[in-house]
Amino acid sequence: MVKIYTLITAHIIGIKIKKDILDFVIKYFSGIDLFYRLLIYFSFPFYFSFFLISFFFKKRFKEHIFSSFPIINNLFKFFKVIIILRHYDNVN
Amino acid sequence: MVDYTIIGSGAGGSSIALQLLKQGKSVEIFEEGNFYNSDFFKKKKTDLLFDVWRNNGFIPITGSPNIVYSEGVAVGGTSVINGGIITRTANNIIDSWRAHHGLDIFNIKNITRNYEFNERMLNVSLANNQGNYSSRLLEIGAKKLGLSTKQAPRAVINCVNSNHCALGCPSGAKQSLDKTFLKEIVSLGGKIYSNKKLEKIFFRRNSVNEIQVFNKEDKSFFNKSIKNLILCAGPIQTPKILLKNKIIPRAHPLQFHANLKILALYPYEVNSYNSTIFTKHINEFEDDGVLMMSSNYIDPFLAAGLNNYKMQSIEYFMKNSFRGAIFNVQIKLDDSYANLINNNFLRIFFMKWKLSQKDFFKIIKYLKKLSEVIFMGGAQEIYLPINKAQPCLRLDESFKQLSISKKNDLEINSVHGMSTCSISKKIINNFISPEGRINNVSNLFVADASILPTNTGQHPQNIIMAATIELGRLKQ
Repeated sequence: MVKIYTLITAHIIGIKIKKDILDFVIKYFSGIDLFYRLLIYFSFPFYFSFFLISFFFKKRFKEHIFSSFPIINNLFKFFKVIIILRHYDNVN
Repeated sequence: MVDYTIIGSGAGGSSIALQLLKQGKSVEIFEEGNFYNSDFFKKKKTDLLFDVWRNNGFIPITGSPNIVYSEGVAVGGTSVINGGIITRTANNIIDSWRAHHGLDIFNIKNITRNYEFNERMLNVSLANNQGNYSSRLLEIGAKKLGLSTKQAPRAVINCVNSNHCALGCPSGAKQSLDKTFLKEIVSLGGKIYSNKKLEKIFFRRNSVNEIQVFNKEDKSFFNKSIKNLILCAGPIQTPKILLKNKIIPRAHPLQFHANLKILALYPYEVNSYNSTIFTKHINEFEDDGVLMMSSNYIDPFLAAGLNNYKMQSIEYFMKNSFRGAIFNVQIKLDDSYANLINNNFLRIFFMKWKLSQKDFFKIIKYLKKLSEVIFMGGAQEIYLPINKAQPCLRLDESFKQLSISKKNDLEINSVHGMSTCSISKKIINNFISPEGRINNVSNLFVADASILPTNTGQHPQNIIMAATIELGRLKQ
């Protein structure tokens, strides 16, 4: 499920996911409190629904859709931060 | 059996342990984190998150807005990952703790003596501003606006501006507690056990007689008989231990400072990669609990700091990061607190808070002031810590964006938590005595940031250490 979250988020922000980033996100996720991990697991259907809805919009609007609704925005920001942390650590 | 078993080796644990050893008591410290050499911090930046930051740096305080709180987990506690600033809490605050909260340990003369001792042990000196261009740009802006600045007192020796403070110092310049107090503790015969986490506290009548400890190295549990137990696990972990063991019904609210970062791009190259954190402060608003300073400039964390912007803006900033700088405003929140919520049945623990209207206006006021300073320093564009904001090319644009922003739009993070087990006499039916002892338990004490009566408005490490030394003296 974390992999799908990562792939969706990376697709929205336009970052190509490598195995290294995927492994990093999984390791990061496994280190956070169980309470928050469960919250993220249970929110998956909503996140996935937004991903499906975003198909009907142009690429430049996709990020806007994800950041417009509070719960989805929190999830989106959470995964976006982890992905760009590793992405820019690899780039530089 | 040793006289005192201490949980945590951060500011509280190391200073009370040293004081007790000096008084001829025997001491052992159990620390949840590992011990790290300076060389360890040379590895990949994002990999260090897993080692030195609790929960990989993700301790959320939910509410409006959601914020992230960070603390270190290592031998030396958060001193391993902080900026090394050692400031003194204002005398009027110390005096109010003695006079209004009825706490005799906050005697200015004794606290000042402890400050001097801490500063000597930690090799505190005024930061060298040479080559630190981002700090100088802040100074230029402040001077143009007539705001006072000061060199920051830092616990460093021969800082080489590796710009890595928040992930552990790779050059060994930062005088964290593992390099100073804890070394002294070992030389005086104290024992420090790393990777050992306190799990349970067992009682016999009205005293603690045994603790259960989890050994992270071989993933096993062991029990340890104890004479006296001192909890120094920090402002969140200490009340969490007390709540999980059903020793107290509820903790006091967590008070903290809000940190907000503004990123700026200049028309010319700024050598921020070779500068360091917090060398110069704008101290004009110190009485209001506000400090402005430059911050660590590390690529992946820069990008993360721009998380509220669209990828297009992040990519643009990162491409031009050689002419960028990052500035931080630290604001004391006057009436916004986080409540610690624990449910032993469901085994959940989390923190919830609400930003008050008064504090919201205070944050907006000082964000406006900091953007003014940055533009005065010659910035071409700035990136505000607001959700869905646009990069601002002019000061009036940033004022406009700040004026229309709402509480939930703010991107806040925090590091300085305190007062969750406040020893104040003002609190009716307080569960902790002014000497730091948990009521109805004869040998269980608290000595860390959680005992402070109110928010300090300053970096709290020095006052935590000074106060816990005083608590140690009471155990003569």
